[in-house]
Amino acid sequence: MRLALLHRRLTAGTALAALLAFAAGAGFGSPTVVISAAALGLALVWRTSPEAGPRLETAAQVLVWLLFAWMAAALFFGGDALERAMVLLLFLLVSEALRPLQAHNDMRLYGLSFALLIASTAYRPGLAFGIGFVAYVVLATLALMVGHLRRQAEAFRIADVPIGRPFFTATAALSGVTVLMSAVVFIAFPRLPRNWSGPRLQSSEAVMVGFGEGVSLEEFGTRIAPNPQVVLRVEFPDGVPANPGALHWRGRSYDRFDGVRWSRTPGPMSVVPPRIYRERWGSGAMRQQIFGSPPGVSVLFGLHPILDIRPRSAIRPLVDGTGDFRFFGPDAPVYTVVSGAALPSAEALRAAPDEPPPGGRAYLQLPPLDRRVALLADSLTRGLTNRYDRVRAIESFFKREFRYTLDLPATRAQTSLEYFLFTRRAGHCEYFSSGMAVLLRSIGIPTRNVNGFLGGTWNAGGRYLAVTQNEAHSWVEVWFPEFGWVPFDPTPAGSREESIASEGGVGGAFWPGRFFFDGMQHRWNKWVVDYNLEKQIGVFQQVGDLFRRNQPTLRPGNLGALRGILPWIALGAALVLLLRLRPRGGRRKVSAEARIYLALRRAYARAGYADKNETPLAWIEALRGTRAPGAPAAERLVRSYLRARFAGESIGESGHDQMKHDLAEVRQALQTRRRAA
Amino acid sequence: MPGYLRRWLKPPRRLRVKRIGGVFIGGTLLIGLAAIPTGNNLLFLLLGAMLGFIAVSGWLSEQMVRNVAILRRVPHGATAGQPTRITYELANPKRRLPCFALDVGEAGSPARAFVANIQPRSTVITRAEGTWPHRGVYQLDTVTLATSFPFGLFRKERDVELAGEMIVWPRADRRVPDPRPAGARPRQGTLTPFGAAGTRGEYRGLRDYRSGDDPRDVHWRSTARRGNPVVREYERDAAEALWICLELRGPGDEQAETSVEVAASLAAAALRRGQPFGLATPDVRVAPGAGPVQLERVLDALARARFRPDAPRLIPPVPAPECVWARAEMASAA
Repeated sequence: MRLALLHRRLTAGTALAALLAFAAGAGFGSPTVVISAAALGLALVWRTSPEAGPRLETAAQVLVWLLFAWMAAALFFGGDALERAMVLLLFLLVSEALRPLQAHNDMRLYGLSFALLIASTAYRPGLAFGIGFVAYVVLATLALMVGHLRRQAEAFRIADVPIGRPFFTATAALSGVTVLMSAVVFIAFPRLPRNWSGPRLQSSEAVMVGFGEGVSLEEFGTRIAPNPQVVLRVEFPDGVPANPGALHWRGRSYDRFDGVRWSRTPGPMSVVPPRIYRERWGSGAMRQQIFGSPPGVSVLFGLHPILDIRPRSAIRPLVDGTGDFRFFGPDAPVYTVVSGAALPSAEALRAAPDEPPPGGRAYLQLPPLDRRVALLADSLTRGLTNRYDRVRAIESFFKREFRYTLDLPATRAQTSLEYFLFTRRAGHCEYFSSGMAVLLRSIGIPTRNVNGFLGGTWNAGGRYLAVTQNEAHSWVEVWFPEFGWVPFDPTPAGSREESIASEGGVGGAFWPGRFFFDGMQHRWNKWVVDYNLEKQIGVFQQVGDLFRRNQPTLRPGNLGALRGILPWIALGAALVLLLRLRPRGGRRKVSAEARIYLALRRAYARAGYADKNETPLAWIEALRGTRAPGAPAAERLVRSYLRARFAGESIGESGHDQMKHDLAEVRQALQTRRRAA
Repeated sequence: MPGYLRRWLKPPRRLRVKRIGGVFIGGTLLIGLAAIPTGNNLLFLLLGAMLGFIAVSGWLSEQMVRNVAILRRVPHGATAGQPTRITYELANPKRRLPCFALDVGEAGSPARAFVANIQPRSTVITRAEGTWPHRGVYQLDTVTLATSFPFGLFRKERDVELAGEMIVWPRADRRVPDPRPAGARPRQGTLTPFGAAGTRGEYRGLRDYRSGDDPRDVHWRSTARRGNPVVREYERDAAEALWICLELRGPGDEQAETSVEVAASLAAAALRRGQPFGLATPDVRVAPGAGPVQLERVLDALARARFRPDAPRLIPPVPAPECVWARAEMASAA
């Protein structure tokens, strides 16, 4: 491949790698990213003609100024100037990649692609950034080398520089050194305590289906689409619970229901001090280390009851008036939750007195409802004398009589809670939690609706629980005096899991691959994006421990310590010896000019011109004497061969091309003669 | 400072930061400064990559110039003011690693030769073309081997001590009048060209072969006996030989240099006419002869001619009126 073409492709590849890293944070679906990727892909295969170059450049300059004005307008008139700046940067990169690439202007393209790489670090990108980064280092190393060779060749007016496969192999190895150096600097460079980190660009991605800041029963239509996006990754420092699929990850609670939507009454409501839960719920605590949060929400999740939250990234948790946990801060949340290990016993709850919670009647609020709702609640709890039994009765009613489905009601009229309770008897979790809350409130039991996640999927490779948007769930919490809020889940469990599995959720066909990728993503977030001083100290401590543990104790007369390492030393020495003593000859590689010359001789031999193993010049003389077809082209080819082979002259790519051209001419001449005969 | 100490203190390599390398280093510092306070871990990755590029650049450029053997071949005589090529033979002794993008040339000279690629255990020949503005004998002592490979960020130079000498002849293309020794009468008959049959004069004797002598003059029997080539020498018509005389007393100014060029031009003109010619200066005397080799001898001597105020007066080899005194005015009189 000619140097210029190789240079062009490598620079376009470098830009693509930077774009991959950028898209890892900004999103692969962004139209700007897609268009840029298409344009850079075009730059890989399409070569702008020299005539079109100036016209393209003029058009690009006009567009650049327009984009710049558009970006500046955002500063004065409002708008996301940063996003527009990214669009401008991508356009500059694409226009630079598409114009004719001269040896002296490739630095601009490198600079733009590197600027894109820097910009992508502000987006908290995923694992794809790592892949893009490695690809960028490899391709940039190659591109810089080839570009330099091209510049030197042009400066000294050399036709071409031969580059063989070993060049690429060696360069790839050097890229490995660069990547290794990146890793060393990354691990070893001292980190400051995490008091401040730069502004984090929020992804412009909309809130996905799943956990949201509100609960609403107004959707109708076809079916709720599954969403396998992992939102939480949970590690269990104290050991994995027996049934992680049944864990309820509590997020937000809602007290006010207008018949369609659940909302929160502003102001302090009912914060139960953690000591109540510690004292009344039983012994034991369980820690969960949680990474991440659903995009666009600032809620901290954990198993109920949350006794304590300790942040591990630059966030500050706070408790709102209802006892829910939120956070603020620029960083992605990484935190440890300490939760109570067990629910209170049924007997203890049965004995709880019948008193309202702090917050008054807010948790007994009901919208105007069909009178059948209250009658249903009465009928289900008739004869039951305590709150706990009544709650269980209603919970069992839903689990027994209803069916879980992701199919939405067909019409708006069918979205009502009454339709769900008395006609359809099937729905998703929000219907079940809303139905139970309404029934309990109608018989005077303070209840609130809770949003969060249920369960997750254990990632054995990463040893963490992956919680996806598919696991978004609603349930209820019932107030028990002296015990606080106790959770109950009326959604039928079995049918829920089947429904999700059939959608390709947990048991879906693509899940195993995604699992592996998610594990890698988790490691990426944990050990790269969220690498901090604490982890750094831990790494060095582990390295230090490794050395201390394995250090042999050498004393006079005590050679036992050497026994462990002697075999390795011997093996290493044997390897080195083998490498040095191996035969260095082997098959000599035939050079390109020799291959072409031999092909020429074979062509004439096949055409019937006897090859008497003469020297090249004697052979040409013989061909001339017999007036063989294609003799002039053959002579040119042979002379090129002799110059390259014996005169030490480097004929380069162009010389090889000329030899191939002469060979083709000879073959054509022989073919013509054969046909004529 | 003693030479050995100077060599020991002299750094084995010189590293120059090119403009783009300066920008790269500046960018690296900026990335580092941005990474530390923000704690953005991905910026640390980029910082490491940039440092890695610098390290790889340093290591690889060293491998390119290390152990490369250089052989220099200078042309026998260059002419002042005319392009001259010095040939360099570069050998890469490494077993596996080729050398890329090397340029080689004399230390301090802008003339550089470029080698794109030297395969492992291979030799490449390249030439640097330069112009030497003044005649003289130039001592060549150091060849500089340099590369900006792999990224063009830095330029690494390695000096190789390679003693040599470059003789730059004076110009011999000045227009000079047809010379007649002062007071000489025009000769009768034509000047005979050198080497024409039957026109050589009487047999004079045998002498050792000199480069440029006619191979037909080789006396084979004596050569076989002696073991060294021997040629027959013939009497030249002493009156036909042109003695070019050049005074060296005085400052080596432009006039003096012009007189040297006049002397060279007179010799070249004599060669064209086929006339034997010789040179006499206070320092050297070149016996008359003919042919291109004789011209080379005269030009060599003129290249080494050194003007000085205390130079002795020239004692002409023939009576003074029979010398052709090379003077600057002869060039303007042509």
